[in-house]
Amino acid sequence: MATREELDAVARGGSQGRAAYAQAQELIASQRKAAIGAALAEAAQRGAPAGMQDEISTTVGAPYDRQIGNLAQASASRTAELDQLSVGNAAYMSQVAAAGPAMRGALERRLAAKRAGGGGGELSDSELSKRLIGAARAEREPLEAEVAPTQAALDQVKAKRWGTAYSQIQRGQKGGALAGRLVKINEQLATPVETRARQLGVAAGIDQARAYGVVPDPDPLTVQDEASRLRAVDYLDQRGKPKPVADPIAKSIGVSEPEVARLRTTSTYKKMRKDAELARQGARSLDELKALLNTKYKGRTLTRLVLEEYRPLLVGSGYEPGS
Amino acid sequence: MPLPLGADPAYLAFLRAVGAEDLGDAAGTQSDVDAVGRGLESRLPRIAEQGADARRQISGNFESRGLLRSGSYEQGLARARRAEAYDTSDTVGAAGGQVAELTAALVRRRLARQRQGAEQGLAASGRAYAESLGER
Repeated sequence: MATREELDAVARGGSQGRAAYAQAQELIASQRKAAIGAALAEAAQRGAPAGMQDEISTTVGAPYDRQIGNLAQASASRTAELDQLSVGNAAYMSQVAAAGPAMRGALERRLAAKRAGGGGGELSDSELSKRLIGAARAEREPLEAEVAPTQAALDQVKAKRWGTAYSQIQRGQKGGALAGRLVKINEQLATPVETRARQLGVAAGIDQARAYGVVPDPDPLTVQDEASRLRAVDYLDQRGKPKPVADPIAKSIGVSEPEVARLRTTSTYKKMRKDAELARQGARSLDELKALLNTKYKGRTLTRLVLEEYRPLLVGSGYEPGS
Repeated sequence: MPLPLGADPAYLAFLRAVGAEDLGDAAGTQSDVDAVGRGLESRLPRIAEQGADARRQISGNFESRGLLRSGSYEQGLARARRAEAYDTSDTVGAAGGQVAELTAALVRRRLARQRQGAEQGLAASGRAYAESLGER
């Protein structure tokens, strides 16, 4: 049976193919509207007969309509191709996962045969289960030892200004390299264990692996991809577990996370970010940037958001990248 | 039931390599997609300028012949608009196709890596399980 992640992959494969075509179709539709509008306006200005309007619209619009049709066709065929590939992949993954128990059975039979020949006893089912669970629990230890020194540094970054560091990773800004490296290592801790649990067809799936303590709970702060982060939050929600604040900036400025996401899409925010970037390049202080934003813009919440994001990057912020 | 893979150096090395490959792959694709967007942004204004030039030329011709109020003048302008519309829609359509192909190619490569990961995981679990049984 395909796991939730595999089904998500199917959806992603299809939607990525569709998105590019949909975007092109929207752009063509807007170009069509603009071109017809301009042609009609010009015709009216010249005093062209009203009866010509339909003809102008048809003549100008036809090439756009043809292209929109082509794109719709290409989109449908590309989506079908990617969906088929994703489904094929999920089926292949299930086959590989199903091979796990068969492989284990073969190994056990080989061992039993060897022991029967050598006078040894066969492992009982309960002994086998105990050994497997013990081994699964123990498997995290070498990984944890490997990342322990970096984990300490990660905690330090988290304690200082993790939300900002996280934003930096998203934007590839100064300071983001260190935080990005730390996050990646933390992901490596979780990924092999979870991947393995999925691939081996754990009886009750990932949840059971988590119950064994083998697979760590997802941490929305350690995933860089928005969809994965939302899934992680969703997982914790469903189990009534405390949900970490995924974006401490939202908390620090007293605004909800969706509202921060919305603010980040506004044109004023983008203008403010450009000013903040110039301030950073000019080695300006946080106070100087604050004064500039307050003078130029009205949005106080937006100002607080941009200041919070740029706090670690500006002179006099007390933030030392790499600490 | 879970099997120990975390201690398998070959499997961990594979995961690290495939993770790095995937990050690089995604960044490379994004960069290619951005390049297509930039190309489109520079091409569309040029098409619009060429269209405006063509219409001005038609207007000049008809004006010099005193035919500005004629139906053939309107038809000439409409034909020029249509030519511009073909250029614009073909350019945007080609860009959309390029982006879709880049994205689809990334999806295909990612699916291949998924399959590879499953195979490596199975092989590693076999090694780990054999070792675990042999320890007794």
